[in-house]
Amino acid sequence: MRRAISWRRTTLVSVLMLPYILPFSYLLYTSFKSNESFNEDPLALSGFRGLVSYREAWTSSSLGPDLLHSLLAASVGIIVSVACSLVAGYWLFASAWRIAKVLVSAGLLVAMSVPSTVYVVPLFVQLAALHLVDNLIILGIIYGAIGTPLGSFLVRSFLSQLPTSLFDAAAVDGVTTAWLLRRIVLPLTLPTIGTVATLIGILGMSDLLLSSVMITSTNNTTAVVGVATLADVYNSQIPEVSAGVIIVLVPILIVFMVAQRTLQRGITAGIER
Amino acid sequence: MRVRSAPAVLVLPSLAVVGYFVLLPIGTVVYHAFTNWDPGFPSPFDGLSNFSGLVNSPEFRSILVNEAFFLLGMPIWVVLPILIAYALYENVPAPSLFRAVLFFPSMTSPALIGVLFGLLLSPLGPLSRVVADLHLGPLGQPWLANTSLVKPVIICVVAWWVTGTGVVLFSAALATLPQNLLEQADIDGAGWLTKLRAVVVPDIMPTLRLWVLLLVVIVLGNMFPWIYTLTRGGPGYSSSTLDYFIYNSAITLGQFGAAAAATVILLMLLAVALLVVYLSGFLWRRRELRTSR
Repeated sequence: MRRAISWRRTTLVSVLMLPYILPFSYLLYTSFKSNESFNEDPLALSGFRGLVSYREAWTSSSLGPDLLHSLLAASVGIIVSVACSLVAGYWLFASAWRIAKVLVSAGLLVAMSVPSTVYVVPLFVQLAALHLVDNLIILGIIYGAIGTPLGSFLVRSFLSQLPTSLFDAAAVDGVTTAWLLRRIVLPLTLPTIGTVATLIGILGMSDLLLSSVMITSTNNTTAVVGVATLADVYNSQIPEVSAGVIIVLVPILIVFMVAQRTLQRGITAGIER
Repeated sequence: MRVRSAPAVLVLPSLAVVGYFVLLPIGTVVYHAFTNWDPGFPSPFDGLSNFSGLVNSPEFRSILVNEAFFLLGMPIWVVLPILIAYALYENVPAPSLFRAVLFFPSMTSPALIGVLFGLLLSPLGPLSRVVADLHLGPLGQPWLANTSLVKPVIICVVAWWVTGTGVVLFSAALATLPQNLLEQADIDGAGWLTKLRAVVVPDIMPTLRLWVLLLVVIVLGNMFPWIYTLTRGGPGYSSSTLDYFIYNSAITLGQFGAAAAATVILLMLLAVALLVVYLSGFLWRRRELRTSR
């Protein structure tokens, strides 16, 4: 009885999907229209011009290079957060130094719960004094710093679910910590690490606040800032703006398709922390 | 015996990165809320004058009103995901497909969704056209340029974006729902609303509280991408938020002291929200204990 499909309920849920499918369809459809036909009648089924808007957004509005900038910053963020949270997570799990663990956990918890709005301005001032603004590597390290607390907690809680005999055996064999990390902790925590990497990758690809503050020249603009600027300046060229949004959405869509399960798990675990 | 060989060196990279890029700036901004902050120049101690400046500014006061207004979106942002997660819980084919359609926008950048809705809601956009074609006269407004409409519209846009995350969270919570309770309710002939109220909501209460807390953090500290892409705080200050104010004061106007003081107010509001949600959970558990006794 529980398995029976309720068609009324299915129809209702399907109708609910329309507000999600229609905006994206409109975006796709507009991106193929010419400016003139869009201005004349945004909904008319005519006046298409192929991929011209995409080429304009990619080259003249430099979303292509911008996308590379975002990818660079996101990659640095992934590397930093994965490396930091792997070793820190193991330390939080295995260290016998109670007080230090409590203090570090408290610090990480504060860093995790405070929105980036709180520290973006002082961080900008701090980095500008050292001439470290307008630097994509530094922006990536900031993403890494944002991902590290969550990553460390996830790694720790994963390790504490493992049977302790695993680590006892290693202790009896007298292995070094480096060996333990490389041969046991890294391979076992790979799914957790993957979750952290995906979340930080998505953060890096979608961040507006940090990148619009930390990146001060147009040579290093990130993709989302590029699209936001495009939407602002060329407000009359809607097809190009639409193409721009799609260009930046596609990498996120690819990550989403590949890692949807991971993401659902990561979001659930992350929020429950 | 458990292995306890973890040298403190292991935690140093995290401490360095998180400390330098997150914790140190938090300390700096709290300190400078009480100075006449002028980066690169001496910033003399200034007592509470940044705060009194904010309290006396009509802009800042309307921003606090806006924040309170945005919190009114809470019922929508809470009820919608619970209803959808519950609807997808049973009797619907391929629930994970529906969930994916809702979840994808949640995972994309609020800034991109903001740009998309900017296009949809613009006076030249498709929604205005549809409203005009269907002769829905009074609905045909420049939604984002109308002082009294702009905040409800932003609440709806945020609802559109945030629902997917909520559905995923509540679906995960529903997966552990005690089956025998639901079957008992079915046998008793309970309708879906009764089941929702009597069985589902009490069971997902911990997730619900977390969700509310997350939404408060969004309203107080993560509205920037929406405001930046949809309205820039306008018309006037009618849709400006605390985080947009902080950005605008410091980065656009160079008023770093005002931004720091607003940040401290933001932190205090976040602490209050945390306390309220924590206490409500405490009270809820006590009530549970009393009723189950």
